[in-house]
Amino acid sequence: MAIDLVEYCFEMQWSDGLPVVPPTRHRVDQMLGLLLDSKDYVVATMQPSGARATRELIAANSVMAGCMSAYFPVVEAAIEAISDPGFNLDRVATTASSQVPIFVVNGPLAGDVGLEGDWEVLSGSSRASATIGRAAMLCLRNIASHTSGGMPHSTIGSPMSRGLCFTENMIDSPWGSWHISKGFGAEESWVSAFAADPPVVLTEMGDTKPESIIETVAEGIALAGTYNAFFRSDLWLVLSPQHATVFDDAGWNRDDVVSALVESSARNPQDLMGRGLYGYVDQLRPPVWLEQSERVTMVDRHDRMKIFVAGGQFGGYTAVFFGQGETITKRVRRAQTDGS
Amino acid sequence: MDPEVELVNPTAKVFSYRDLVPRVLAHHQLQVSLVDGTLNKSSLWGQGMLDAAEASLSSRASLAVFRRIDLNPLDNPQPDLWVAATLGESQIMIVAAGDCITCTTRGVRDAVYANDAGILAVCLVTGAVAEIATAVATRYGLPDLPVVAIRTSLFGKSREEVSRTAAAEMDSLADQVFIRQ
Repeated sequence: MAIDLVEYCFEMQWSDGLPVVPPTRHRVDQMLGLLLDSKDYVVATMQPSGARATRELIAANSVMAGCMSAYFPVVEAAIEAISDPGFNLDRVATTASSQVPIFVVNGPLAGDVGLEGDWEVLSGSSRASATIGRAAMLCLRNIASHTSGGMPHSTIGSPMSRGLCFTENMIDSPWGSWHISKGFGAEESWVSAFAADPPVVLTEMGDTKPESIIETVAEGIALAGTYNAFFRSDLWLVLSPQHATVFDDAGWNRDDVVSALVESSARNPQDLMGRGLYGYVDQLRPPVWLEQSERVTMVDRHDRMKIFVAGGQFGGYTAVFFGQGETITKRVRRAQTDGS
Repeated sequence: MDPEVELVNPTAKVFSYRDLVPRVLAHHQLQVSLVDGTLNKSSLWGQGMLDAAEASLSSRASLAVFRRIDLNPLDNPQPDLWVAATLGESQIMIVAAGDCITCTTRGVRDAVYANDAGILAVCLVTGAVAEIATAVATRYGLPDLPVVAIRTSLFGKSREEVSRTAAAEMDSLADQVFIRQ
């Protein structure tokens, strides 16, 4: 009797709960394509397992996620990004919070693989956006032992636990690509990763002044119960093109928006004392910044706030991704004919 | 096998099992590092656990030398660095990991690094996360890592109360550290 390979993958606990494409030898070899001869190449060491993520392992998980072979270099860069020591994957993979890695792809390859930055950009409704993030999350599960053999670790979990990967709307954005604004090569493609909580989507439709959007979004950022309020590390914002255009029409650039949001979302230390993570960690000994600052910003440096422009052409929305840690960006390496 | 049917295992063959550092005789030359790896420093839960551990171990090895190491998880201390710094100064390491999942995972990781360095390591955790501690230890290839579970919950307890609660489990700690004579 023939084995049902999809059911077999469930039995082996390789799946994230949804059916996977069985990683047959034929499919994995196809996924590797020109890289087949270097299938044992170690792309990264993944924590907490300390396991070596070889190209073949990443390819097998990419097959299961439903990726096309053209996506593989993007997945590989995503794994490099989250395995970078600065990403602190062992913390991300074991935290009780709801933070999971999310990815933004910038550069020419984003469009080449079919990532779309307009309508439903965070919905994962194109094959590329649905499967690239999923492949990375399956690598966490199956290589980094994200679930530690079925061990739950996140108290509430995340609706993004099956992956989130998006790109910017380069047609309707007034500012050009984020990666170019940060000095990454325009001709190359890049994957940036961040450990994020599920987004809070804020709307400001009533007024088309920049100050109105700043006020509304800053109120949404200034929450005492976020990890940002305590760790003050990176924070991602996805502005709809309409919001970005309001700023641009008034002569504001990305840095102007960041400065206004950082300052407007700052809180009085007394408002934070004993609340959120401050309540758990430092009831008696508040951290230095809480004792010595008149105002506590939700990021400790302006460059920690990353602004992307994505989404459909119409609608005044901004999505806020709270989280913890640094954004790590890696270049996507296209496969060469020699397999490198 | 037919490549249309043969499956490539997508999981990492992570490692071979590690060797557990054996228990020791309770003699006078022992050097014991008591590591507070808890996130909540202000409530002194880790110190309370370690107070109980020190009292128990010193009652069985009266001339043992104890020293405390305070790790702040917020600083992301790297175990390969700080464990190496203790080499030659510890035969035994007791890691208090609190009842936070992240701290527990880190505490287990640190204990595994200590074990790899030849130090007998034990994790102190609460009952709520003891299963997680063992699961994580297993994923690190050290399923028999000594884990001592303290009755939960620690919330609202002072250092002294935590110490009293932990004291109830310290016979188990001593059994996992010392060879019975």
